[in-house]
Amino acid sequence: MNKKIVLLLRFVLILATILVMTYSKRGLDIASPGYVVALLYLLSNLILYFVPETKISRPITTFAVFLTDIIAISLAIYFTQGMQTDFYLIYFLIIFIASVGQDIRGSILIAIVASVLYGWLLVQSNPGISILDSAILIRVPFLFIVSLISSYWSTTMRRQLKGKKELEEFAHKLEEEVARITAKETDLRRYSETVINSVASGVIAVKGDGTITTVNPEAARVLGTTQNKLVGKKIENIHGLDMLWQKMKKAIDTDKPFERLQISITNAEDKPIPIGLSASPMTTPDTKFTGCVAILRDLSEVKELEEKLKHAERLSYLGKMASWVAHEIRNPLTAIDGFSQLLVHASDKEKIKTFSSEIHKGTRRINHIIEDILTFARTKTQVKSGTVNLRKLTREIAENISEVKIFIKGSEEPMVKGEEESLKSLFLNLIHNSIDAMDKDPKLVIEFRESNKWVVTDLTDNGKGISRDDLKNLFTPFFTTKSRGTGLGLAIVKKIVDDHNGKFEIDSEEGKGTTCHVFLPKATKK
Amino acid sequence: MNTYNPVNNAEDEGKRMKRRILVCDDEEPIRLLLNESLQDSYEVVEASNGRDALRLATKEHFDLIIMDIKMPHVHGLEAIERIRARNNSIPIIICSAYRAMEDDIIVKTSNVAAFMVKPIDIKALKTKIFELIGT
Repeated sequence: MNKKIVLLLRFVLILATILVMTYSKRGLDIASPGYVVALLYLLSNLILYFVPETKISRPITTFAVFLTDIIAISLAIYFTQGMQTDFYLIYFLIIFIASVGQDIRGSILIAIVASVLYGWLLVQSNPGISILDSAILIRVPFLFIVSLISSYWSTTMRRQLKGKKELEEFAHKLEEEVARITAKETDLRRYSETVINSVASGVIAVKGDGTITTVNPEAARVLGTTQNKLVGKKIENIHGLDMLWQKMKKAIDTDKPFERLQISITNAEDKPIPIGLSASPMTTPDTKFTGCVAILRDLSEVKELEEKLKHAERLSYLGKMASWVAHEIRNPLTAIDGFSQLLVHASDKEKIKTFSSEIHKGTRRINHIIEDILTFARTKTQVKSGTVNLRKLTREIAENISEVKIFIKGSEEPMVKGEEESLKSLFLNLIHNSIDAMDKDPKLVIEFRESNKWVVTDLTDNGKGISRDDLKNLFTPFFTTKSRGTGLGLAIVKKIVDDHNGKFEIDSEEGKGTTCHVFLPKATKK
Repeated sequence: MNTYNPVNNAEDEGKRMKRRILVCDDEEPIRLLLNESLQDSYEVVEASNGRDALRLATKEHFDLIIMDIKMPHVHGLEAIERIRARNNSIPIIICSAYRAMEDDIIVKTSNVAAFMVKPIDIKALKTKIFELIGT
């Protein structure tokens, strides 16, 4: 109960008590002990004024206060002998006031105390009064009825007030909770955004229908645009990202992730960008949401570095090549120069023939060396996409070779995608390698096999084979075990195979022979 | 004038026996060229690698050796070293395509009479041989 109200009500009670005492039969007598009690009562109200609000609002405190009030009033009446008047009405007032601040139990207790005291006062002022006297029989039950009605009414009111207050508090708490959750959610969202935005790789997420939901700054940079221009758009409608969408869609459809795929996209500036792509499908257990998140890595720099490295390697080879060329060309040059000098003075027909032939051989050898250098020094060649029959090609080479027996076996029409001249050079190099490796009973078998993707040519000789140490250096340019080898043969073979997007493998056993496996892409049949 | 004339001197001796030259080169056309160029004045014996050259130089007498450097089996420089171990006086002319190795080789080989870089000038070679052993 509110402190101010308690103080006010008590003040009213004190005033009422003093008034009743003053107008009682005894007349005005200031020195009467009743007034002393009333004065003390007034003082207690002053003391109560300094008691903290929280303590007064407790039911036990208000109960004690009202109990004191009843006793004080009763004593005051007793001393002034006011019972002969309508003084009893003041009890109704106090019971009514006390009920407002108490529950029903407290009110009844106050009513009992008030009734007992009232009864005692009655007996004091009217000795020998009967219990059936109307003053007792009517007034005491009336005290109880007033107490019950007022406390019931005040409890109901209080309950309603309390309910309303609780509801308000609940609404307030709810508001606070909503604000807290919203703040937490915002923090979480900002945190996730920061994480995604801080990833050094590009991150792009799409829904199942291809609507872009997330793009981090790196992804936007790689794609040559801004995040705002991508989010919310359908990825399939963005120029140059067809391949990216195709791969992401596959991940969604198959529900399987894939890693480190190399694809090419065209960015917003129409520039082709090589990209390392990993993608994972996103699904929720209830399958209400499907989508895919992709990680993009810009490989432009890596590719550039690779090209630079290759260029540097080529330059280093060129240095070696210069020294090698000098040596290789000077020998036939010596022959050409020397024999032409001899030719001037030669008269014998046979000698003229021999010298001329040597000059011719020297020129051819120089030309061969130049061809080798040109093939090797070229950067990756765009192979003219023709169709070559390898059986026909190797047969033509074999017809011009008399040193060894060449057997051609396997597929009748091994057709590959490629450039005839390059492939001729490839097989010529391999066949000459075999010829150089064979001494006794030379035999070379060329066999063709076909798989779904490849035409494989196996060239098996019964030569001296290759040692383990030499196998390591097989493709190193200018490495040769032959006294007159250029050291470029296999490097050229490798290059031609690479240019054709093929594969090259060698199996060799020292003393027994060597088999070369050339894998070339199969030509599609028309 | 009282001058020494190696031509006349050599001619006198040549009537008895031609001077012998060992040509060692793995290139067949080079051996043929040297043989054709020198056979009129000298007896030319050919070896196609260092090992054969060593064998011949040990067995037979030669007045001069023309040696290539890059050769199979036994390298030219190794062959020269081993020949020198037995015969310190025989003049040796190196005919090599390696110009870059010239200094290095001269340091390494003792008593090399001449170093000629291919393509060699036949006339210059003939003059050098004549200077060294006459005919």
